[in-house]
Amino acid sequence: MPTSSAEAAAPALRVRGLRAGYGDAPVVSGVDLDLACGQVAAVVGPNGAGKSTLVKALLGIVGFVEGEVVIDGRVTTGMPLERLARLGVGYVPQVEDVFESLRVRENLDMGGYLLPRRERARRVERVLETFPALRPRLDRYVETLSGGERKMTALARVLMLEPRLLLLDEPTASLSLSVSRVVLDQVRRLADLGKAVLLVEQRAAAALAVADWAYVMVRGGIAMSAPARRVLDDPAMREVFLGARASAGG
Amino acid sequence: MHLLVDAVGFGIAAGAVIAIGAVGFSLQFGMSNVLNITYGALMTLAAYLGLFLLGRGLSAWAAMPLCAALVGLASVGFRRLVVAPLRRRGTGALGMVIVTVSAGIIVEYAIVAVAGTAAQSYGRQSGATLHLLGMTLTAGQVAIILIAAGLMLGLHLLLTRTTLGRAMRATAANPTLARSCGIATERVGDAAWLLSGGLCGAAGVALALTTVSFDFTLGSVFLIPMIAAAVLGGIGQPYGAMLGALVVGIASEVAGALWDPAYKDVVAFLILIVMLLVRPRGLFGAAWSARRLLA
Amino acid sequence: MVRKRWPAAAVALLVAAACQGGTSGGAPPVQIGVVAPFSGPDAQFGKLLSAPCIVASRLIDAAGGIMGASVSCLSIDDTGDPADAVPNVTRALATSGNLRMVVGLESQTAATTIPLVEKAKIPFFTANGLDAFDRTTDRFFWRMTAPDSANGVAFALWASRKGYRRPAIVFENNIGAEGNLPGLQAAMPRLGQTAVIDLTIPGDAASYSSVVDRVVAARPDVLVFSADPQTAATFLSQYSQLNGGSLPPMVTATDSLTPDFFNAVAKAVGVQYVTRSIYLVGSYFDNTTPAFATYARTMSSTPAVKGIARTILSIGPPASIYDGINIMALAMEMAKSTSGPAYDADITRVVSPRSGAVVVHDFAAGKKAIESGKSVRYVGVIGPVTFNRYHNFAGEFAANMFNPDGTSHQVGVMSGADVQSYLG
Repeated sequence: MPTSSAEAAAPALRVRGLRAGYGDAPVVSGVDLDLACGQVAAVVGPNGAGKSTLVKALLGIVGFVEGEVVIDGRVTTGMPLERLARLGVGYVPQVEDVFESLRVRENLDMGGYLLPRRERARRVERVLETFPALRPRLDRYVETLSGGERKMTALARVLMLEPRLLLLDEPTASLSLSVSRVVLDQVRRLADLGKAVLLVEQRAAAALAVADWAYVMVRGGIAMSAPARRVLDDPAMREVFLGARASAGG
Repeated sequence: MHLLVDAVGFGIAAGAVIAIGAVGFSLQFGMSNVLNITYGALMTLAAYLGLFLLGRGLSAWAAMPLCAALVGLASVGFRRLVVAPLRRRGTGALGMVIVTVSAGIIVEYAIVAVAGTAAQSYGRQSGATLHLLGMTLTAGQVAIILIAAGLMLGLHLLLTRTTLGRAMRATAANPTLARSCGIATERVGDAAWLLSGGLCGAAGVALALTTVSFDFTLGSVFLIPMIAAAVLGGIGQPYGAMLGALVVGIASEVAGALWDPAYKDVVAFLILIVMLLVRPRGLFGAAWSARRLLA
Repeated sequence: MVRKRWPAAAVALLVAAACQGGTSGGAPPVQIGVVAPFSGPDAQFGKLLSAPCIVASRLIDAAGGIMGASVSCLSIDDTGDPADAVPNVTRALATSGNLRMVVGLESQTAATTIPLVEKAKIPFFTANGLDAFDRTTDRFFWRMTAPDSANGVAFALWASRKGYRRPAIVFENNIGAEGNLPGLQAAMPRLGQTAVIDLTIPGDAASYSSVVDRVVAARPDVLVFSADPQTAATFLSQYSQLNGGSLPPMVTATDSLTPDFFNAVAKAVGVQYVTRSIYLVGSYFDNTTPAFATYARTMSSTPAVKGIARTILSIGPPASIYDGINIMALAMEMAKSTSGPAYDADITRVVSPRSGAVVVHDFAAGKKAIESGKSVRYVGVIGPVTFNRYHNFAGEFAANMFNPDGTSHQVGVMSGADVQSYLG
């Protein structure tokens, strides 16, 4: 379980006995998760462990989902994806995380789709304070941007609704090391602002460095649930689960 | 030379009609990934609805928006009653094409059952012949060109300036992400089918005005140049379809003027096949797609 | 024949229903095969070709049948496609119990279907216009419609008689229309005409503007034209728009003597042009003869066909099929046999003038005369017939014009010999 302070507050995300996959075969099974506001929980593990499927299962966008997903005290299993946005759930997929054929400004606009138009303009200003590099790119089409700018657009877009729970699927994949660091710093900052962040990462060491809690996933199940610091500092863990990736930082 | 200039003018006029239809078709495909062959039959339906309204004393120009609205609703009905349930059942792209072909035939024969097989006409509606920039066009053709231009501009403003339009583009680009933003993609899809159905209806009436004489095969015959235009511009991209329509219209008329007119309509097929072979993403390929919504 | 579209299944049902119902028991009914398109885009043509069979069989049955046997029409669908026609015709020939005569066999499929019927040794009257059969040596082949090339000559000849020297030739690209071209092109120089432009157009295009522009620029004094109703209407309306509202007169085929053509063109360019400026040229027959009176009366009182009677009664091919069936039936009576090889030779005898022969205008009168031991000469709807050695008879040609109510009247006749002389 996360830290004692999180136990006191109502958990932003509570998962019990999650089983999900495609067709008849479950990709993840028996997963329990807890995440409180102001916390970053990192889900790490080897390739093919089912990390992305886990995130998609939380959103109901895989073949089938069984078990219980509770967001802010509400059972959301089987709820349509578009309703989750109204509950304050923000999602940044690993790929296809932006509207490619739309301008940056339009991407932000769509991020704030549920807001009145005037409020949207205010929020754009606010997210630009977080990602000032996007300001000169506002009228560019996203497909003309660099990888880092794209990911910033994706994060800025998801912040438009000021979600209370953020699900980030490998936000640093295919980014350079320096850009990754900027992105992960932002993730930490968002948690410090009171958001709950579920961070799925391949770059385990870097992710654990900004996380409060770690879930280590192996073959569709949670193999270890512990404070991030402990996993990071445990030489056995570094060796077994993180391997060379940890030392390389990504 | 004068024949060539004239042919370009006729091509623009033909392209205007094709554009109205092709843009709606392309928009619909972009939104839903359904190659909706019923579209042709719905154009025919619009032409016959126009005929009915003309019989009630309306002018063809007044009938056009009414037909557009009715066919728009029919299009939404088709999506709700046929396309959406099949999609939920996981019907594949090919199955969907077969369904839309069948539905098109059913619509055509329903028209035959009511209106018969004989050729119909709105009568002479074209008005005076005008000479513009060396081109010879009827007032009717000029009106259709202006209507097409107006519809294209309106569509452009809708897609780029309104929340609904942006939501349509967002849904077309990435439906899952759109839903995660809270966009009710089903409702946005309905709006897109309403819009494309409306364009389909307007195109049907414009086509009936252009051909003067038409029967129940009107739309299905016209579907080929329309699909050619849509593919030429990169299917799913409304702006590409506008340009594609002009290219198909002008190519076909210039071929009719300079070459054996028997093969006039073959030009559309030729363009279609060559495009699919060499540039399946459309005339403007990646470079265009980068700026596809700039126009 | 001009291309038309019709719900195929409906037509097939109608025809099949009409063909049911033989009469007396006893001898098995003699089947008359009608090889024609009953499905596909030309299904309406099948309707036109089977109607005369329905009428003839009704009259033959009323006269007591052929040697006591009733007759029935058997629709054999050639689909309008030469490849698809072969299995259908083969199957019908193999499975029909008492198929003794065949009619139809139109231009689109004649090349593949005629050899099959010839091989089966069943006499047939064909409605095809292909020049290839002008000098056929097929024994069971009989034709009383003009070859297409002669039709083409008749177009040019009529235009010449009306004083036109600068025709524009515009034909839709289908077999039926293009068959007329060689005769037309051969005759025009001999008649002192120059084609100012000669174009083939696709059917059902949305716009013919650029094509029309070319024709207008060539400044023709007459359009020699052939296209389906909708294509004709679109073409003419765009012609009128680009030519300051005026249209040159038109010479076209009697194939277009249909309500569809009349309505489509009248709606598009006005009824005045249709009634005053369109000449429809084709095979001629006199509609004041006693044979025509019987044909028309029966056609109009037969439920299955009376809806289309007005159209059928004004065109040549159905009349030649009606006559062909009567001629074959009388030849059977004369030969006292329904077997093809037995009665085929009597076909010429039924129509040729002989001393002492009784001239008859329908099957009933002919049968009566034969039964009383007399020789007969059948003069039917299309008039007196003399077959050449190739079993062909071209007949005469007429020009017709539309009346304001969509019916038609004749405005001139051209003799077969006249037409032949320009064919070269």
